[in-house]
Amino acid sequence: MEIDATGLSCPMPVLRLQKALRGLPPKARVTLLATDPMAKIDVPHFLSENGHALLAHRTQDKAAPGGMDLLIFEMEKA
Amino acid sequence: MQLGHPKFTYEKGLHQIGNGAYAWLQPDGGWGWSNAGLVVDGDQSLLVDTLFDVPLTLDMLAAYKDAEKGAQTINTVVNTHHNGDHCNGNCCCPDAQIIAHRATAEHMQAEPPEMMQSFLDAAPDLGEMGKYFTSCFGPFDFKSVTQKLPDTLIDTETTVKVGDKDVHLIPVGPAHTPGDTLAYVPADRTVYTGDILFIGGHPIIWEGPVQNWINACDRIIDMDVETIVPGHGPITTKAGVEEVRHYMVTMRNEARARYEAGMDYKEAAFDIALGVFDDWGDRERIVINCATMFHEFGAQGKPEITELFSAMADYAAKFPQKD
Repeated sequence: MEIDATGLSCPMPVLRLQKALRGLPPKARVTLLATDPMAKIDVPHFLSENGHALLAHRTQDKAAPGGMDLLIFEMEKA
Repeated sequence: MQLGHPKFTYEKGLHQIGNGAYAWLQPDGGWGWSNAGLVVDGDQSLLVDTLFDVPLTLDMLAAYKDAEKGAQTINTVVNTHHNGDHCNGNCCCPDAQIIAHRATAEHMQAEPPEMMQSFLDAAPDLGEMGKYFTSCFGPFDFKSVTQKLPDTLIDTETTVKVGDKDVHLIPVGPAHTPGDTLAYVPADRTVYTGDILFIGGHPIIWEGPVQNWINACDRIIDMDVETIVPGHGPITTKAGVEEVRHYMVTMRNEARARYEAGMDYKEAAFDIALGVFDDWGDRERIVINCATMFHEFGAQGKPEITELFSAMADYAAKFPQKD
């Protein structure tokens, strides 16, 4: 599953992610796309506090609409 | 009001309490500048907490070794709670048994030092919040830390021996954090409180409920102790404990009135007059405290960590601390 939270300010990306994870089975893999730099802190913190695994995160420079950096988080539900 | 114990100065380093009991203090007691303790009897030693990074902890251990034969090898470490400024230095005691409350161990795993480092790495892109975060945590060397988790978990009050001395480990959380634990040493008439006590600085109510914190203060006040080593700030007496209790009762009343008036947590934090607590350090923590208390009163959800730090940065800019 991929969740597109580009253009949204924190905490919206985490809230979208939280809602999506609720409906998924354990071990489900999810990719979250975001542009708010605050997500670099909020997403890993949310995952860790809730026992989910952050498998990878990377930044694609200026790859999002409007020339913003695209933040990509790949995770596995606990 | 002067809350420091009259027998002790508030200077960085080792303070001898007597009878093989010590405190290690790190003024000014702000973000990350925590206190710790050492209990020795014969050739046995127990640390109450380690520090935020490896260099700080190694300095402390070197001073302990100079002061006490029994501290050449640390046998036991007790972590009073999971915040890194009380446990990141565990890796400096490779041979020690590490004891903590079960909730402390769980939360240590959820908030590893690598996370703090990743926050600092991200900070330059995060504007005023990033600057504020870096001002709090930039001085520490998280890259030096290899997390060492507790190997012995407690769920209820537990007594461990250091030589012939009893050390009572008394869980009182959730309050500051889920696993808050006091270390009470009757033979030394001393209690190490972890972050149940911030002396001269605003306490941080990460977890609540506040009533647990008030109960913990009452528990300390009922102890037969002469020396009280807080998690942050100078060594204190029961007068210091009374002041922290007063803070909790006062702020809960102030926050509840604003919750019932329909404010949100941030409006409430900015609206509360700090009164007699105005000269305590790190006043912006009122923001976290209101967020946690509002959740306790029934508000939905807890704000994300960046929202809290952004709001604290706003508060610190609007109400700069007087020297």
